[in-house]
Amino acid sequence: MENKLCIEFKNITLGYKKPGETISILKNINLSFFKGDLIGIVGLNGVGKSTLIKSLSGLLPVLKGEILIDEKPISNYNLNELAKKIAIVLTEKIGGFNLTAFDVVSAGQMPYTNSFNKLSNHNLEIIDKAISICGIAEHQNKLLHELSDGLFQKTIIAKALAQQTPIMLLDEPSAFLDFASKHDLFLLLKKLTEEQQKCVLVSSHDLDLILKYCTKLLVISNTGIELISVSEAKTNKAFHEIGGGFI
Amino acid sequence: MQENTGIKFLVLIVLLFIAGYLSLFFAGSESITVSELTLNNFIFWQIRFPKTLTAILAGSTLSAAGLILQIIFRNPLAGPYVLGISSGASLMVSISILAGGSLNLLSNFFIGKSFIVVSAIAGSVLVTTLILAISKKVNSSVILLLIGLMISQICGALQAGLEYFSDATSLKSFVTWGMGSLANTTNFDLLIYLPIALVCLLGLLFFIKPLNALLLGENYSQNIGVNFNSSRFYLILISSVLTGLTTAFCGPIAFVGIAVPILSRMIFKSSKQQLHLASCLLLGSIILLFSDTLANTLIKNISLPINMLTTFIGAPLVIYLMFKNKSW
Amino acid sequence: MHNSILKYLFLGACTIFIGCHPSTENHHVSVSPSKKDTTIKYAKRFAISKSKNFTYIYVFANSSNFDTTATYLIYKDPELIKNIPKTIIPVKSPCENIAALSSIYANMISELGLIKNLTAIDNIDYFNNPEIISKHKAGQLLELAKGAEIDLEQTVKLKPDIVFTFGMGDPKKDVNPKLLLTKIPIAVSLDHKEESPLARAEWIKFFAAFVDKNELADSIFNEVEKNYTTLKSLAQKTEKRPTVFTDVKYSDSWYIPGGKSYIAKFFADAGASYLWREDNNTGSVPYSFEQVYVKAKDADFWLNPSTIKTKKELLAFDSRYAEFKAFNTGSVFNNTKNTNAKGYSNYWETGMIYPDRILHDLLLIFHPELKTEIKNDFYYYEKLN
Repeated sequence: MENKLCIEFKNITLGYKKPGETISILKNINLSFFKGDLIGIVGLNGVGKSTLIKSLSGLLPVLKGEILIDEKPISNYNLNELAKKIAIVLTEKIGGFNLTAFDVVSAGQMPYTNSFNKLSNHNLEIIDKAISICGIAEHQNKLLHELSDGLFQKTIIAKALAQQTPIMLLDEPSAFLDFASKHDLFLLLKKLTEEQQKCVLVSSHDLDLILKYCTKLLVISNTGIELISVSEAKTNKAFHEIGGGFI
Repeated sequence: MQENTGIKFLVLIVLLFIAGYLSLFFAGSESITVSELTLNNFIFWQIRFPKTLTAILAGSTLSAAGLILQIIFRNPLAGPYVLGISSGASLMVSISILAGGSLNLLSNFFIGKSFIVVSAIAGSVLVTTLILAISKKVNSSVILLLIGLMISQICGALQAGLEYFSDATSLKSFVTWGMGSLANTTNFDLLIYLPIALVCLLGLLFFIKPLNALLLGENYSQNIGVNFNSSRFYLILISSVLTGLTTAFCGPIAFVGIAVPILSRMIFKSSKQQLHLASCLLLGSIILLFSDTLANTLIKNISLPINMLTTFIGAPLVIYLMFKNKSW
Repeated sequence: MHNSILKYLFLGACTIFIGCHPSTENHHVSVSPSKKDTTIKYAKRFAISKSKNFTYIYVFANSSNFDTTATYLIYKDPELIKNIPKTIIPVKSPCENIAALSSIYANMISELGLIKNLTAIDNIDYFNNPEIISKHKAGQLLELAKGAEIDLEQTVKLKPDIVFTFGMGDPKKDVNPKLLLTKIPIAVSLDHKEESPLARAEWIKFFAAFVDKNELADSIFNEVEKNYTTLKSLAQKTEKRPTVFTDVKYSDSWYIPGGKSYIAKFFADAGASYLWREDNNTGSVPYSFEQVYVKAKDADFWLNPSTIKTKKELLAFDSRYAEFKAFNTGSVFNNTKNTNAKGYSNYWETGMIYPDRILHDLLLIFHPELKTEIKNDFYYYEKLN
């Protein structure tokens, strides 16, 4: 089966601009990600995992080079089109304003609603499905501050699901989940890549989960960035360092 | 849930009519009955009517501005007054009255009024731009609010300086204007006030998605297809025009901008901002209409300053409700 | 009359009081204050008593009894005041370096022929008096109160012999304590608390007592009194009593002078019917536009609309002013006939000294049929066009 090229990094330099200076985090990257890939992003803290995810989602402009989504540069997509291509899950907390879990998940359908944001039956179906897949059905009417950290994280993941995007980016989604839920999450991600051919990039410090469920690894270290298959992981020097000798 | 919302709205609409009726027929030197109302009743058409309409416009514009600010800053403690926006508008009105007086602009009604309105909006936009610029460097909402308070203090101090050096007549003018008033507008004033207010409020209909998306913060709203920076820019622009406009005609009216959206979220449990926008317009109008009636009927022959009513009724109410209901 | 007798009794009591307290007595001081050189006929808030070596000036706390808030002692020989009680404020005569912190007081000094001795005023912006203006231009007049507070350092440097200002009557409460420490004599005038125009005008005698010009003050005031009473009886003889109201609204507050105010007295004396004459306030009360409209919409005359000089200006502030009958019949008058570059009229400057002129203008406004009997030019007023 031929995997279609999904994301391409062409000579990318990633970083961010502060007043008066430009800080490059990752330089001259050339990578390709395909549909059906479940890619685990590993690296020590501060090495650039979040920067990579933010740049890929269009939140942070690249310093040099181009990111292509479905062979089209990100800059050629308007915001709404991009919203239908990439969904992100971050660790930041949101809340207040009477927002319930349901409200957050339904935000995932915003790229598909009219300007008054009316939810049609079709929209509602997709939202309900995302809620049940993530297992938060009985908590959906709770206010955000009433949810535990784990449930909150699942809610955001459900939102990303409801967004129906071919690409999903998750920044440390397993951080607050209990043991079983961590596995549930990765199983779900694996299912999404296999059944729906999504391209999923997930960063995590849970190296054993990454090794168990992901198809590829994106190893980020001081020496650079490498895309390797899971089988090559154990012999990879950078990965070994990240593992601290424990894995 | 849906039914409940409908009933609540109905109640609000009924309250609006009652409040409007009281304000039109009772809030003044005498009560007028519907049966004796004629087309050339000067008091009713030239004094009561503009006052009631002003109450509705002021209530609507200020609470809409407050709603927008609370969404932008993701903090219920935001409002036109606490962010220094009202103070900036007030200061510009004072300056424009002084400047207009010496430039002799005030002897023509239309030019004079427009000058003041534009100055107020300019002051509003200036402070808002300043706050926005600072907000790009500062991540915390709390710090931003503190900065807003400081700006409010600075504007207040500059205003005090103007008052210190002004002559008795100008001083009286500033002081009475600073107390806020719904009765200072004539039907001619409304020809300027009403259209601009309507345009801004209707314009908000184009921002329903951003208003809802912005609740999720910059990253998530951008990811679901809403341009965070541009939405924020336009929304803040609209809220400063709304604030400046009302401040130009009524002086600074305290409390309405911050409290009405909070009340709305307590009455309606939904997170749909379009719903809250509608309820804020109703609630803001109702509160100011009732305040106007009370201001004119509490003590015989005395018309109390409107800010006394809005503050003394509203502030304790919100504090009580906030303690009773933990989520805002 | 009744008041005068009581005042004599009071002064007599003071004598006894002072005489009976050996601690306050100084064998150099010989006081016989029952001998009064000036008679105060209308003013209720001050009294003067002269003796060989001293002039006592008393300022009263209210108009119903004789509690003093301040007592000034004008003396020539410093030896004689060595043991006076601390409650008395000594002022060395003659006062040749005079600071007058109000345009009214500065003009009183001017009327008393003492411009050469005037060294400081409050703020030149308020003045129309050409002599005072040119003295200021020549750099010979200091401004001590450009803001709300008096300029302490300039005042100290000037070292005036007397500072005239206004307040509630007690220098210890009205004046900046640091200024009191300098021992510069400060006289607090209560002319603005008088309830009738003649009573207020009589205060020229108060000021005159400090500068030894009592005779001149008496003659000025007698002329004023004569003119005023003549005009008043002319007015009382007319038949009509036109209705009148004053001022403008600020925001929605229209400050209406009370029925016992100074202006209300003027209206009564001028044979007009002030719409709020039954109110008991001496100060102004804020009414809403509607409340004033209901009462004043059919009034015959509208006076003193702030600093506004034309009907167009009035309308620009509020188009609803056009509904007032006085506006439509062209019966709006303001005391802005002579204004300086800053927009301040000379109404206050000289009108408080010469209330007969104000009364004259009011008669001309309210009773034009008297044109044949009085001067036809306005002193202060003009019609709004």
